[in-house]
Amino acid sequence: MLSLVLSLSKFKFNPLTFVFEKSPPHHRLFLLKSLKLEESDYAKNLIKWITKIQNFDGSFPWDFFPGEESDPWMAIDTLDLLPDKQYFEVVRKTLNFLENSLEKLDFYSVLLLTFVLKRSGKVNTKIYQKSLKILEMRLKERSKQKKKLKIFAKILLNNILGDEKFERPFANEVLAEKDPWTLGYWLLTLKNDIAPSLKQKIEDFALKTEKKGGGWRGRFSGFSGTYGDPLTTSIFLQGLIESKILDLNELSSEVKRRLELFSKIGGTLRRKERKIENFFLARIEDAGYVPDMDVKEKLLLCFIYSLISQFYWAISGLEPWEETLNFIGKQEGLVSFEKYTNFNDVYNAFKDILRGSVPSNRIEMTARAVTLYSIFLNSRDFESFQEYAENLRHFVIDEVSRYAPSYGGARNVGWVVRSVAFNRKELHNLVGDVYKCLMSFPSIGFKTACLQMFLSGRIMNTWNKEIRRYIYPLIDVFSVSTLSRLNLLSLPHVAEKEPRKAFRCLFWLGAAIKPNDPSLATGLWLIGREWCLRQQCNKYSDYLGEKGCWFRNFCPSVKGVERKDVKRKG
Amino acid sequence: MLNEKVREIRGKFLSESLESKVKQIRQILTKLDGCCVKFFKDMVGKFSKTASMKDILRECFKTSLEISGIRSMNYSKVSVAKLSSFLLFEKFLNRCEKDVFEDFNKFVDAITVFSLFEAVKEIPTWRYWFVDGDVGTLAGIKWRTDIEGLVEKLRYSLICFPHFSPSTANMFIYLVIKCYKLWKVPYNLLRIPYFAGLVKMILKLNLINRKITRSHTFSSHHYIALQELGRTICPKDPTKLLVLEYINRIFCKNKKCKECNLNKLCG
Repeated sequence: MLSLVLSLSKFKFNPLTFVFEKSPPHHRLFLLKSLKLEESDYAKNLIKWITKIQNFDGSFPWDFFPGEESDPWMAIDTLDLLPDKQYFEVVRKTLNFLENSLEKLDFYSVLLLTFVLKRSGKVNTKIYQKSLKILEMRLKERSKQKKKLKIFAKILLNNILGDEKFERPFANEVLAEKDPWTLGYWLLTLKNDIAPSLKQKIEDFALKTEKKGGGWRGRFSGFSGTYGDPLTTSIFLQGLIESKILDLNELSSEVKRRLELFSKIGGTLRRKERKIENFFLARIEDAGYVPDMDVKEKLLLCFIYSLISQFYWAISGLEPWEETLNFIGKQEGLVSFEKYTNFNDVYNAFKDILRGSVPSNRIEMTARAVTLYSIFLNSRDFESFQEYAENLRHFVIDEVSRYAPSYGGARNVGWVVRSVAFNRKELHNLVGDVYKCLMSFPSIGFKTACLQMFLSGRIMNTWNKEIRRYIYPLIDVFSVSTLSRLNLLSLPHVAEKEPRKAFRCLFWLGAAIKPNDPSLATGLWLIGREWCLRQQCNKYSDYLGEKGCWFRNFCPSVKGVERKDVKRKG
Repeated sequence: MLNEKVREIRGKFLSESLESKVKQIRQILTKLDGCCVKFFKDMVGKFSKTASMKDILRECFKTSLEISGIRSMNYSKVSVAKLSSFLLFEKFLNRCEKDVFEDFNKFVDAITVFSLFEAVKEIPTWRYWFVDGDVGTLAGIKWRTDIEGLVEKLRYSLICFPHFSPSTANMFIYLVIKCYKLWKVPYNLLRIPYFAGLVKMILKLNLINRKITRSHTFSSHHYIALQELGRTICPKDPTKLLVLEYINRIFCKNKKCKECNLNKLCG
């Protein structure tokens, strides 16, 4: 007898890998909710994260990621996720925000809001009535302008207004659209079971349209691209689950296995937190850090350290702390910033350290970055993180922007300009802006900016503990190697070439482990550096003073790799 | 790095064997340039002798939006006067004092500050992903005071307005500087606005072998290619290439090939 459910093994890539790699927290939560796993620690931690990142006005940043711009769609999605009684205050603020911005929303946002309000059982609320009125008004306007309605809009309208007012599109019409988003909504609003022949068609469609890197293509994105769109994938997957096309038992056990893996990773990293901190502290102390240092000195030290450590590829055996100490020694310590503001001195010092193994234009850019940052530290006064971030934003627009080296640098300046124009003062926005500001400096990329902020904010505790919540974990080829060994990446070779592609995976893993401090996921960087990259799981780590990888008891790749190691040595 | 890229594009789009053809085209473009300027000037409308610079700027802004604003932002059914970018420009004009319009330097500085801290707020987030690099570049060149820098600043400032693409910005500058001569600026600093008809004509003349598409940013390869082509054909005034758009509108669309000056060269 033919099985009537779609097994996960039939997919080229596991769709769950895509969700846990690329999707933002609310999509992960939707998946857990539809599998009735919302009581797990993983889900609870992500909900805690979402409630903490709410803006003053009740809105949420895009994808709930620190530093992103706020978007009404995120607020709409939270209504579906947060139970009213438990999160009364957050839901009230969200509803207020949506009510105030209801008239500014476009037709599709109002439609989605009304649909979500109805789905989450808020039919008797004032906002539902208001949004329904606006929806009907907009609908009339559209019919006057003879604007055609898209099929997914027809599906949602049928769900809201009922069969009498709006006819439900037929399955053939929906399938002809060849759009996972539309099909997902159609499946989500099903009232009866589907016929087996139709089920087969949907199965075929799901298998055929799966992207190379997992997931399904977005409604608004083109057919090209390696990865699917998280939003579309989430809706389509929910539809497949609700209509019971996917094998729910298999799906549920697979998700549980993953949650167990995450909780084991979380438990280990929490236990080893002190060791991770000490590892970085020891390195930065070797570079000249003393706990009672001035804030500005700390910042400059971290800046120089992270700049030098990016050249590990150029010089074999480069030890960043040694070279940092060497560099600072040449400038007669950190006390006088004026020494660092002289470009020629800084350039010559870097030239000596990098010993001709780095191109001169790169050295020039590095020296320029140090000069600019020390001019900033020398000329501006700040006491709190908020003041530091605001001053840095203005400095970048005024001074650094003219040296913004590449298109990428200019793009970061562009976002800083927008932040200043809106005068954004939310803590998560300020932290996000500091990252963008640092990346506007010449020779500084994402990795270096992450290291600077991690060392200054997390290891040296330069600022108050509140900003810890938004500090990114270190992303590097080391972190990617650990993630790929844990089978958390759908295309590890792509991420190895461009580690930033795996950043969201690492960040949300950190947020789910410890919502108050996602940078704990830096532990994965450390593990990658000590064990995963060379695939030596039982090696003795000199720096950590421990034998064997912390994850070797539950890492899915351990066994095979050990055998390979033995062969290689032999 | 950029020079290398430009050289590559030049090599790709214009081979040496075309030189004599280019010479002939250049002569025709120079001959018809006056008609082309008049054609676009007529699009803006006629002004009385007492019309102020403010009025001319307003109308030029409106026309450039009408001719080459971003269609994907769904404003085809809204009149230009109600568009957020037009309202923003009105706000800017009302805020400026008289002497600002008379001095090009002052005008550019005023619009730069307005764009960086006011206009960017009106661009929707999805659109900002296209222009973020251009806004960053504007922040980087805002200290420039040389004439080339000023024109560059004006171009980048305009792209901070919603519904504005590089071609809209270039169209506005073309209208203001070449058609109405509000300020004295060397014409070699002007850039060519994109028109589908113009590219169609370039393809017909076999000057390029690949289609150039509309670009959303100044750093787009297609934008650079079009400008490089203009600079190669008419180094002293690249906007002469707009004559091709004029020819397309007057002759090609009305199928008056016999009357067309480019008849012999056209493929």
